Amino acid sequence: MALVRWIDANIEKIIIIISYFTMAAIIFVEVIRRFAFNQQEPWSSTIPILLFLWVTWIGAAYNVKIRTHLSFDELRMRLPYNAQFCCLVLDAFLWLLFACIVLYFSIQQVQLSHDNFAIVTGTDDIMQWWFYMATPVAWGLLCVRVLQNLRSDYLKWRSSKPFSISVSMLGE
Amino acid sequence: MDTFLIVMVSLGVTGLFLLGVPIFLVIGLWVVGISLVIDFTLANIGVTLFEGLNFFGLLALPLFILTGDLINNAGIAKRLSDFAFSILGWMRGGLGMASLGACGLFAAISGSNSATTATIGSIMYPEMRENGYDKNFAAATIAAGGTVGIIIPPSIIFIVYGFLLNLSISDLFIGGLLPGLLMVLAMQFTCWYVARKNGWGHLIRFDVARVARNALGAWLGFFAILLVIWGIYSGKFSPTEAAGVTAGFCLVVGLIMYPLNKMLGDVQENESQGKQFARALVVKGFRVQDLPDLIMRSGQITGLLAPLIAVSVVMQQILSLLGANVFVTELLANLGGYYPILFACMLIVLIAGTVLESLPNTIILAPILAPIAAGIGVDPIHFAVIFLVGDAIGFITPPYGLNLYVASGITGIPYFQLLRYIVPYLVALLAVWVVIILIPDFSTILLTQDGAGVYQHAK
Repeated sequence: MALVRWIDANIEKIIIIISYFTMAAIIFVEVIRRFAFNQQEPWSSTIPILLFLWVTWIGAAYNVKIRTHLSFDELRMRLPYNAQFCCLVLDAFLWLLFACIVLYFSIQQVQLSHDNFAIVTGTDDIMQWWFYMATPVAWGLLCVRVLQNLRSDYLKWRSSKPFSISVSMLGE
Repeated sequence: MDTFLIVMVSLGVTGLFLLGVPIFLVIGLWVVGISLVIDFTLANIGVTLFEGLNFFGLLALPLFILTGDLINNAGIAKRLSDFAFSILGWMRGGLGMASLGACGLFAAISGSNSATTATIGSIMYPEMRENGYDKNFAAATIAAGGTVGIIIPPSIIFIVYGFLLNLSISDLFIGGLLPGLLMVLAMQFTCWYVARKNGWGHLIRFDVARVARNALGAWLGFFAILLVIWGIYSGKFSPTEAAGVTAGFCLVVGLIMYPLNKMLGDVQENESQGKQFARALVVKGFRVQDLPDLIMRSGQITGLLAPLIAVSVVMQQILSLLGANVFVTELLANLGGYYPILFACMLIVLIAGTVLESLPNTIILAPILAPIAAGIGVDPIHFAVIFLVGDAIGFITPPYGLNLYVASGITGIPYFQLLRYIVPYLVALLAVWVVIILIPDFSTILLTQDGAGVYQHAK
């Protein structure tokens, strides 16, 4: 249980930090190698982009979790309490709706790439679908975060506590 | 019937936007709605959210965001701010002008406007408050200063623009240099004027020794700026590689500086000259264990911006399916001449910029407007600069001005309260915009120099 809670708290961080760092490190090291030794790995221009896609979509889930996606919240802040709750439910519904569409079609894409044994350009044995998994995995995680937020909003609403509507895009 | 439904969908999502639904979803749902209306496959969404970002040049985006966070955490951004103040502190409004100058310097290493506002704002806003500036004006200053973050190279938005329209990103970067400086100067002038009228700020004497000391203290910042500009201008690096090298450089420096700074210990009175010199050279730095949090900050911002890029690419595809390009082209063609069409384009960018974030604005409008501008003989780089300066101005225009939100977030001043104080800066930037349009040389002169290493830019 403690493990589940730890994963729940840190899953986005782990994936983002590892992918981000690896991506930056590959580019930095490869530029230096090209300058100093005239060598460069052929995959150094493909793998980083695929890591970037992991950062992007897991980052999107993280921003749902900490409620920092860009939005125009001036009107919502001034709405009555119950209307605010309705807006939050609406957000959750729309996220889930869009997520269903993305999940359905991105899983197809992963399957296609899996069935075709598509390989990342510049490598011999790295399968493309490992990276294509970014979209469905991240959007699945995003759904979990949406539901968690919805639950916490519902509990707040039940006990009439104020919602956190206006959050700066920079978090905290 | 289709037209009616398309209008209804568009009005519907506008309603969602006003209700505070995240912008990513607003654009995404518009795409879904229109795809259903015109009977276009939704599979496109799943594919483009991935493939729309699958482009090496775009990697400069997360890397320049990371560079900004590294520069800030290593204490280099603070040194750049101190340097700007040491030069401008003797003038009325000097601290405000220094904040704007620091925004320009920071923008020359980092690529994002919100990072510029957030970083320089959190350093300079408290100082401006202490220095007797009106708090609303101080907050408006940093919001306005952030706009140059995307014009002075490197810049995320130039990368996206080049990616969309197949222009050399290095050329675009170089094109943005002078217009960005012009924006800084115009805003500094505004700041000077307002501060002088109100008598804000305590003046310090201009002191060459102080300037020299602060310049020395900011040497790492200057080195990073030169690294980026030299790398791109000489063609040694692609922008992505320049971003990687700068990020790597800042990372290594930050890690080396931390123990050195610890060795120097706390500041004591009557330090020897050698020690003072060493203190100027060494910055705060950071530890390995600080890195996860630092990377996570960049990751969060990337997770905000990159999804917006992806979904805007889908929206642009749907718009061209709808024939928006043809529609707008025909609409503007009736206007006739060079300037009417150019100013009509500006008006479109500006109005769209008041509600759209800069990335969606660029992705959606640039592919429509750039061919029109090219058709009437506007240089593509010049038009890119015009377009993106307009985009940058959109950061401080209500109702949706991202920099105003960021500034309001750091300073705790309500969003609406900032609006009145942003007006002088808005006027200054609009004036600069017109100048940039009327004088193409600002955008293209650096490109037409011989022997610049960049390929000879076709006039």
